[in-house]
Formats: sequence, structure tokens, C-alpha cells
Amino acid sequence: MRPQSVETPRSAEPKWKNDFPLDYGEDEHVSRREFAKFLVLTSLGLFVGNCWIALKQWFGPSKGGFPQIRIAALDQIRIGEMLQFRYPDEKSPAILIRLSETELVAYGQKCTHLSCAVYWEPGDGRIACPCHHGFFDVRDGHVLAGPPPRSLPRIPLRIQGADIFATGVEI
Amino acid sequence: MSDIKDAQKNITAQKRNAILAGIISILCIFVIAQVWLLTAALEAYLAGNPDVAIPAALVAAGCFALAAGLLRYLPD
Repeated sequence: MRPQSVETPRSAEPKWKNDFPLDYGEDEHVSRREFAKFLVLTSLGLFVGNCWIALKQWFGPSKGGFPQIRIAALDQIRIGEMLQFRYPDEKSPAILIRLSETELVAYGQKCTHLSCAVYWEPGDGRIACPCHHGFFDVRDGHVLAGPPPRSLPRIPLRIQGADIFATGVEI
Repeated sequence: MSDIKDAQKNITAQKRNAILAGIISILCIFVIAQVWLLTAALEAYLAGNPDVAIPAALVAAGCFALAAGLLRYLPD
């Protein structure tokens, strides 16, 4: 049989216990009212997130069109080679691939899975993501294998004289 | 509003429990719906589909307004 505990009178307790009279359990306690208020706060956070996406959509670059930027000269890239550039801004890496004498393709370099940098595998004729083994078709950027959920964003090109220009981003 | 609060003072603890549980359940449904809306809007935005973000934001605003409105009915 367990001995019955004898409660210490309040006056006999140390001073700090009188200064902070809350039990640990009471301190951790979350009432249902508090939980309901927390749910409403979560709802507010999710609403703000939705607004942020709507604002990004409204004021995003697709509304204003894309700049036309010279990437390189034709003779700078040989058949089967890959060239890195940045488009439409300095924060967006992209790759230009020359498939044949007349055929050039360009894609955004961020994998659509978790934004790792993809690279061109000339032997296999595909673009690979080294992080989780995602693979994209080099002809149109669609997913061949792996976890990426979407095709790579394609960058339409225009060849003017001996120069290659990027003209937009097709998602 | 004060009528509701006055009426809530006269109900039993069991009924107050039921009201609180009902409000929390409805709030959970709103939050789950908003998580789904946010996911769908983000997915559509990243896929370049412009038709989803604004309706999703409007519905999320409605959910938040209803959730905040429900707070007024929380029993003391």
C-alpha cells in the first residue's frame, strides 16, 4: 500500500512557489476556447497565403510580357552542346541546347520538383535532374521519369542573323 | 449578440460542451477547406493557369469571415 502524501502548507513552501503559483500542467493547458481561436488564426494565415498567390498572379511577369534578350551568337554553341544563360531576369537560370544545325531549344534550368539545376545528357537525349533522378524530354521538356510534376518551362527562341534571342517563357 | 450571450448563460454545461464541440468541428472543416484551396491555387499558379488564384482567394476570404463570425458564438 502506498503511503498517503501529506500536502505542505502554503506558508511552508519556498518563496518562489508563491511567486509562481502555476503548476507545470496548468501552464501547458490549452482550453477549447483557445484552440478555437487558434483555428481562426490559422484560417487567417491561409487566407493571407491565398491573397499572396492571387497578387503574384495579378502582378506577375506574365501580365507584362517578357523581354527579348540576346543569349549568344550561333557560332558560340556547337551541335550537342549546352549553354547556360539567365532569362527573363538574373535570378532565373536557363539552358540553351543545340540539337542540330538548325534546331535549338531552351528551358528554365530549375527542376519543377524541388528546383535543383537540371543539365543536358547528350548521350541519352534527355535533360536530367541529379537530385531525385527526374528526366525531361529534350524536344519539348515533358517529364519522362521521376518525381517532377510538370514539364520544364520552355523558352521560345528567335534567330536573327547570327544571334539567338530568347522571347518569352511558356509554362 | 447580447441575447445570445444571455441565452448561453442559462444553458446546461452539457449543452455548452456540445456548442463548443460543434463550433470547433466547423472551424476544422473551414481550415481543411482552406488548406485544400491554398494547395490548388499554388499548383495552378506554378502550372501557369491564371483562372484559379483569385476565385480561391475569394472563397478563402469567405471561409475566414465565417470562421471569425463563429468566434462570437463561443460560450464563455
